[in-house]
Amino acid sequence: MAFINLKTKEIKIKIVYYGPGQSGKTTNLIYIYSKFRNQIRSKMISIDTFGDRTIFFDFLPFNLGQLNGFKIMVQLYTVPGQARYRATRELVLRGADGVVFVADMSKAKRKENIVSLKDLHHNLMKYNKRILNIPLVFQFNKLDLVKKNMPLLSTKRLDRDLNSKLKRPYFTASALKGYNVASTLKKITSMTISSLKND
Amino acid sequence: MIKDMNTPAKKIDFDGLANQVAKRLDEIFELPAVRSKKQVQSDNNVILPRLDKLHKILLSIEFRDTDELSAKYLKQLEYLKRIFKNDKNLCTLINLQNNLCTYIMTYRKNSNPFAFKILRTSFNSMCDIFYAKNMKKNDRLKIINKEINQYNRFHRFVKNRSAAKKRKQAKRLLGREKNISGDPKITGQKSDQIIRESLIVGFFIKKATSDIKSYIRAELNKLRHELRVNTTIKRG
Repeated sequence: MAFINLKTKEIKIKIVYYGPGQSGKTTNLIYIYSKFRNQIRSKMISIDTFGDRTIFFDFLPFNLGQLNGFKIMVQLYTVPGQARYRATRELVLRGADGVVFVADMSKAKRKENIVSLKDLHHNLMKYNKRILNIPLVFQFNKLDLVKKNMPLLSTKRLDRDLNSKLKRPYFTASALKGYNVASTLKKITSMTISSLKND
Repeated sequence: MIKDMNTPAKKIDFDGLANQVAKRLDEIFELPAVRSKKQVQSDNNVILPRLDKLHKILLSIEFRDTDELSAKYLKQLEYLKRIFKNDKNLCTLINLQNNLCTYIMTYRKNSNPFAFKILRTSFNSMCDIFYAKNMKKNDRLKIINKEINQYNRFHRFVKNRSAAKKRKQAKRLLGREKNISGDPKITGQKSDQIIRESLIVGFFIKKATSDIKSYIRAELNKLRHELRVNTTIKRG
């Protein structure tokens, strides 16, 4: 849940990057950090990585400065995607105000995307939240694989697989190249802030 | 969680705030990424993440030495080699790591634990040299010589060990040949043939003995059965 301190005029929101293993959640954060570290003036904290795999989580806080008299802090988290780290995912998801679901566009990962979305649904239910109510943005990642002649799922297909009931905004992206990384973050942040009125 | 309930949170115009946030994010992300002079000079932006990645892989290799990790490590080294192609000192350290990594990749679990140690120290000294740009030439050379000496010692050790292993194997083979043929002057090809033949003969002997055993068991069972039948007839 968002932290709103009316005395000190501070708003903190937590956004979690969710998705199957190796779909590019950490890459999203690394891109944001490496490109805009001078603007966001914060440090990315990567906890317990095993090679290039996240075992616990990555954390990138950044300050948006004063807006409407409020200090706004956005905290970005990633979860470990592999099935065996279910407990960690559940823990990181606790208190999330918005979720970016990073789906892998490669054809081989179609099933994993669906399983991961179901996992998100179950984990949210544990915190009495519904996937239909939480601010959620889809990011169909790894568009850059087209150049490597890898078979990719079409956006229509992905939308039908994951977003047919939810009808949430989605972006095709390449976290590695930075394509649509910022727009995904922009969308989820503004969605999360405007959803605070319902809390 | 809403603190300080004196001012109701509902008074905040969240929609307006969301618009402003979007604008601020536009400002942040649409600005060209500003790089400080130092960053431009050293091009740390490119190299530091690579070194960080290398470090992570290195730590992982020590826990589980898979081909995948070693291959990744080699890939990163290749990239760094391209960057540091003008710096001979760093290149030698990269080459050392390259050799060690290929050694670990080929021998996997059987690789000498000393290889991991040298890999780690050479990586650390590479980082030391990279970070301390104002290091004197002599100091640099000292570090590199230390690493090279360590590597050479390790290389010699591994070479001697493998030679000793080969010698042992050869001795064992010769011993077998003596047992089989009794003639120590048998050439390599012949000894191979003899070993193969002995293996085949051994296999057949095993099979024959097992057949004989099963035949004897069956006969004994038949006898037992007949004895039982005879005793029941006598009692009757």
